[in-house]
Amino acid sequence: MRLLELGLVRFGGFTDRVLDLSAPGLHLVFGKNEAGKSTALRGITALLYGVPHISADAYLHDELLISGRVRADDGTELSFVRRKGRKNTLRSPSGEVLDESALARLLGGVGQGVFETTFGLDHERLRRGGEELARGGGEVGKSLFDAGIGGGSVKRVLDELAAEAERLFTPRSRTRGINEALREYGEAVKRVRAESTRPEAWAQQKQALEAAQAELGQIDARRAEHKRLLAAAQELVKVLPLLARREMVQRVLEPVAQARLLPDDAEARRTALERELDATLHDARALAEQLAEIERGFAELRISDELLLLDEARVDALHERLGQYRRDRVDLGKRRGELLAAEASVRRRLAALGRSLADDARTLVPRRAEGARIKALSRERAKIEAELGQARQREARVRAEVAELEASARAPLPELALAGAPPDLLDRALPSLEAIDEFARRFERLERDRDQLAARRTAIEAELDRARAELTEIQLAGPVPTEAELARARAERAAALAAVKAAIDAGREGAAEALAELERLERAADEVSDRLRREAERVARFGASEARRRHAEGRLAGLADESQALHAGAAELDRAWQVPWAPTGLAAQSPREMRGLCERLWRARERRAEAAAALDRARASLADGSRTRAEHEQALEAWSTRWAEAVACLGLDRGAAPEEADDVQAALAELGTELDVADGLRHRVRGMEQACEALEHEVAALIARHLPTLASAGDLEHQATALIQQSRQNREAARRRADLEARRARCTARERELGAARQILEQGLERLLGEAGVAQRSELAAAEAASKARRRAEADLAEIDAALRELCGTADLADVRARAAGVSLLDARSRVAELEEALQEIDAARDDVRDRLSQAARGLELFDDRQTAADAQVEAEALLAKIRTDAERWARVTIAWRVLSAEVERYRATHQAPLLARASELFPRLTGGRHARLAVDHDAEPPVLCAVGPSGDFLPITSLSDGTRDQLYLALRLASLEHYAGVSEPLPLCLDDVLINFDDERSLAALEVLAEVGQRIQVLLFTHHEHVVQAAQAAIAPERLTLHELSRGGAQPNALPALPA
Amino acid sequence: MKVVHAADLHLDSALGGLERYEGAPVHRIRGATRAALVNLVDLALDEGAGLVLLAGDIYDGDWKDYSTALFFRAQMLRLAKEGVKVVWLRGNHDAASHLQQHLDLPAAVSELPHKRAGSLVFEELGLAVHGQGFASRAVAENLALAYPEPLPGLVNLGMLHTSVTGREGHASYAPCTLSDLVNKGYDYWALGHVHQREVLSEAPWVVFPGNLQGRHVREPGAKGATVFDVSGGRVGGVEHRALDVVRFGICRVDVSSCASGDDVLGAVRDALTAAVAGADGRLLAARVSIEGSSAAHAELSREAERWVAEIRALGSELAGDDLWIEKIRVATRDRVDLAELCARDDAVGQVFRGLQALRGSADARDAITRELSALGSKLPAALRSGPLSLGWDDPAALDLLLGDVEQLLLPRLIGGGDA
Repeated sequence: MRLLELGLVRFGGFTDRVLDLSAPGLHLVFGKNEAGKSTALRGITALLYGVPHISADAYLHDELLISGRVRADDGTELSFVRRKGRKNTLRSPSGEVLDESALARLLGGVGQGVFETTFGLDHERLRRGGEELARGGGEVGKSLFDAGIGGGSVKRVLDELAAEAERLFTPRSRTRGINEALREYGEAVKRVRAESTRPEAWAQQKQALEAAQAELGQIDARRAEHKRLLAAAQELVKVLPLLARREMVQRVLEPVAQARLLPDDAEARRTALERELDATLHDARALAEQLAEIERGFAELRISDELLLLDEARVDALHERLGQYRRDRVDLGKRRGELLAAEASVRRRLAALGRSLADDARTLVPRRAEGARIKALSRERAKIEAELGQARQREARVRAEVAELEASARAPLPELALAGAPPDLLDRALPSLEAIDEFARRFERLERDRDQLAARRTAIEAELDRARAELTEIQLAGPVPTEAELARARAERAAALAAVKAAIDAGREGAAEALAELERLERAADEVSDRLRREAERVARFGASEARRRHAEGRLAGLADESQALHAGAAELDRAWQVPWAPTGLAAQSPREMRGLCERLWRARERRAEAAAALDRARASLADGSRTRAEHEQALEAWSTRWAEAVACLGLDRGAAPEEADDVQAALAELGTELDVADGLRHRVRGMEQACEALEHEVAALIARHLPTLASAGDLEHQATALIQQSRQNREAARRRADLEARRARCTARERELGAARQILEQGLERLLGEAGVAQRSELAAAEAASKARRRAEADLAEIDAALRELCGTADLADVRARAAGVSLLDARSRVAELEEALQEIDAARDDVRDRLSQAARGLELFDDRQTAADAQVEAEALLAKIRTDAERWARVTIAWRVLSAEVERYRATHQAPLLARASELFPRLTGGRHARLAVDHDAEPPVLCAVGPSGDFLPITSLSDGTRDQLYLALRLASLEHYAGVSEPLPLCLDDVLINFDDERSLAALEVLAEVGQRIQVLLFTHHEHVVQAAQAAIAPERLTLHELSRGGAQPNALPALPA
Repeated sequence: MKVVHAADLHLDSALGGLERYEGAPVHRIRGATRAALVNLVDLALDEGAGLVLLAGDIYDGDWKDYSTALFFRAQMLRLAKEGVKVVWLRGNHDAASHLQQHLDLPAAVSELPHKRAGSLVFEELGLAVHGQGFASRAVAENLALAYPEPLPGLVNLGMLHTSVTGREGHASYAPCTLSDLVNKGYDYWALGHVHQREVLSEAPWVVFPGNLQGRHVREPGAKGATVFDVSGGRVGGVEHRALDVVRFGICRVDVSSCASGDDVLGAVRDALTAAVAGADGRLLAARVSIEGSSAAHAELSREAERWVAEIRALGSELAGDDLWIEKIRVATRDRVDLAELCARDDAVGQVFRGLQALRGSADARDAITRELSALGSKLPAALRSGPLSLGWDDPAALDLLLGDVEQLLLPRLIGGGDA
């Protein structure tokens, strides 16, 4: 089947792109990267087999559509379109749904997978095919088979199958999957057997258990009988002592059996009543004694009611004042003497001051303020006099300073000792130092400019000399033609030509000469022109030198101007320098000298100003000093007036010295002190006398009211003391009387209580007599003892009977007593020991049987809930499942390997001859004659494919280069396809850049071969590479080659751009 | 009064076909048949049943561990203690088993005779049970014909271990027809032997309760016992109760529309999710059978081991300990038209023609059998004959094997050679 036309209507980046593939021979489809080569290849598959659901080519168009036209070998043609979709994707060009079978018939039943592997080949698969050939060592069968199936490697498939089979099982291994599982399975089955228990084993164990149970039953019966006997013997051992004791108790009970039973607490109650009655009687006696003593106390008391009226506080105050009275009486005499002495001292002091007592002595004493003022004035006078002295000294000193400064101001200045300097030079205007410095800088700059000018002039003159020397040198070699000369010559020639024309026009004679002249000028102009060209280098050098000379001369002229300007500037500067010095009358020297002079003058001027200022200050100071001195003198005068006023109170006048005033003042102050002492004493004596009198009046009044018996007895002190003492005794007696009354009341009450208690106690004792049935209290104790004895004996009897009851249970006690009769305790005990021994023996035997019993039970339990055998069986089943799965897999891969190996060999046997023959033709052509043919090396086992070199030597495939192996694989593939075409209808062979690893020579050869194959099978070669296109155009006759170019832009059917030749 | 009817306990018969793999819940399959019996006893006690009928095959014929019988006895004691009566008869397996010896079952447990048909009358329950057990492992005669006539005034129950007219996968023992049973005049026929539950008739009731616990993937679905009510001299309220602890199931996954291995995993996930949900919380032992002509065939075939591991991991992820992937069978087919492939006179056509040729040739089959005997001779007997046999000497099985080989080779020889 051939694909006559492929229309990429809406597919990938293509829109309405149609490839006409109907011509025979090779179709070469060229597209640069991104031009859609791969898209077009996919388009072919999609056209024939449908568009995949997930397509890389649906990014531009929503509904993909490819059209095609195919023709079978029998001439049947089919035009159709293919849509993307899940069903009804094959349609006629007019849109009717077509049955897939219509196309499938034309495809010869080749499915998509087979189409892609058998009829598709790209350089990657080509390379892999070559590699697989080498890997398989060129084994003939596999090599032919691989080339036959088109993709993959049968060797690899066989190896994988063999490896998997071996992994699963090998007959002698123990560790392969199945081998190991078989071993484990065997072990699990053994375990099942080992863990299975037999019915007989269980029955045996059960019998053992039952036998032990029977034996245990017998032993238990014997044991019970022994236990019963032992219990009876043990009972007897306990009963015998009880019976003996019972008899004894009955003997004790007999005498008191009829005694009246008193309550348990009868004795306690009686003794308590008796004890309390004794205590009550004793208390009553003590109480009577207390009352008698109280009555005696009353009889001893003596109390005055008048004295009780005298307040206790008042008595205490009187007692205190009496002490003060005694001290005042002693002090009064002493103070009166001191007063007399003080008054005498005052009189003496007044006399010394020349005054009498008649004067009011108090007025003589100056007041405190006056004394202070006199003292302050004394201090002020000393201060005023000291300041006045200082002021006078300072005035004299300043005056001397002024005289000295005035003398120095009149002396001449040394700086003015310059010849010709005017005397008032310092007062004239002097130029500033900054102005002089500016002039100095301008003079320096002028000097520097002069130096530079001179240096430049020297340089230019040197350049000028060199230019002139070069010009001379050039001109010595003959005149140099110039453009000007040429222009001139041409002008002359033009003029001559005009003259000739004029002459000709005028038909004048001489035209011949003019023409001759024209010719000469023509030649001259040409010569100049020629020379200009010929001597271009000289002309250029001449021109350059000339230009340099002119330039240097021009620059020299410029320098003269600059020099002139410099001179003018110097003169101007000199003039300007003289100007500031004119007012000083000094001749201007160089700026440096004038600056030194000027500095000195400025300094002299400053010094003179400073001296004048100092003199002014001294004079002002002198005026100040005189004024201060006068002020101090005035102050002294004012003080004298105030002093006279102050000392007048001392009886002194203005002339009194301060020391004198101080003495008088001291004497008057002492007088004042003595007067104060005398006044104080007098006042005190009067106060004491008044206090004594007041007390005497009060004591007399108290005696008269409260204790008149004492009115005439002794002095005040005696009366007062007696009053105080008697009043206090009387009050103490009254307090004792109150105490006694209270005690008597309490005793009387207690006496009543004791009487009532005694009555109750005696009634209690009467009741006890009644209960005991006796008349006298003395009989009570005996009655109580009899009651107690009876009660104890009866209790003992009850206890013994209870113990017997407990021991004997429900047995009649009479029977028990009967059984015990005649049996001794000793006999009973030895019977017990005998029975206990026998029981121990029985128990030992019983333990033994019980051990056997539990052993048998444990043995039986082992059968219960046991499933170890079942668990092992589970294990075995799991292993069996695994073995089965693995064995199935092993069988599949083993048979697959066997069948495939056999078929590969069969394929070789039937196809080797024709395939190898054709491949052997193609291979030398594809390698550019580097190899002669292909052959089979039958010496190898299995036989292998070899390339045969030009000299007939066999080259194993592993020794071939990668490229040559690719070509060998291509030769085998093409041979297989041709063979296929011989027996079935082939589909178009779609080659994707298979030649990119071929060199130019082999590419040419391969393209020729493909063009040849293309005569029988449709061959579509897709490429990115221009050189392949060029090679095809060079190698293949145009009628066997159709070129197509892909580009996204639009349809360019069968039109290739002009490719470089 | 309730009666519980069970059969085919096959105690301690191991669950078969469960391949071990990492993460498989091994602990949950141990003792499954015992657990199912415990469930049966619990059911009888919970329902307050007066009678339990066990219609044969309590044991597995060749199972020799006496612990199994003792376990059965312990469970019967539980029933006896609560006053529940039990009637059982021997099935073909019990006849072959030695586990009955020395076993002292409680008095409340009665066995029907196996030398001739007999009856047990339970006046207090108002019913009579008739039947005959198997005297030997293979009973070929129709036992039902000799069963006693129904007793008037009582509800008559017949017990029989039989394949009736024959059931697939079950040996034909004590054959009879349904009319033999129906015409007997009994009220209920409690049958055993066939492991698939089946109600043959409802008037009177003729019931196979199926076995108590499925033992391999050929016994799929819920397994258990039948409970019915006897009152007023009539049988009613017949119900099936699931008592199994492990449930077998086959997940058939059609992957025709799957384009890749991942699509296949998705389809398997859906199928397993549904199957686990239908297992009533029991451990599901699922066989995953991936079928159909699929674009994913090549991927599945080339990396067979990988996809098995993926599906097992998926099982663990989906249901953890509640799911055991019993086996994964990849039975997909390539979409290539084999007939057309065989018609091609090229290398690939040669191979598949060769395979086709093998199928028709007895010599070729013999050669294959010889080839496989390297392993076949070492396999355990269970895989050489019987239900688990690999059948490497069986023409039909070998044809299937060759079909598998075809599907194995197809993706490796065509389809881009990117293996």
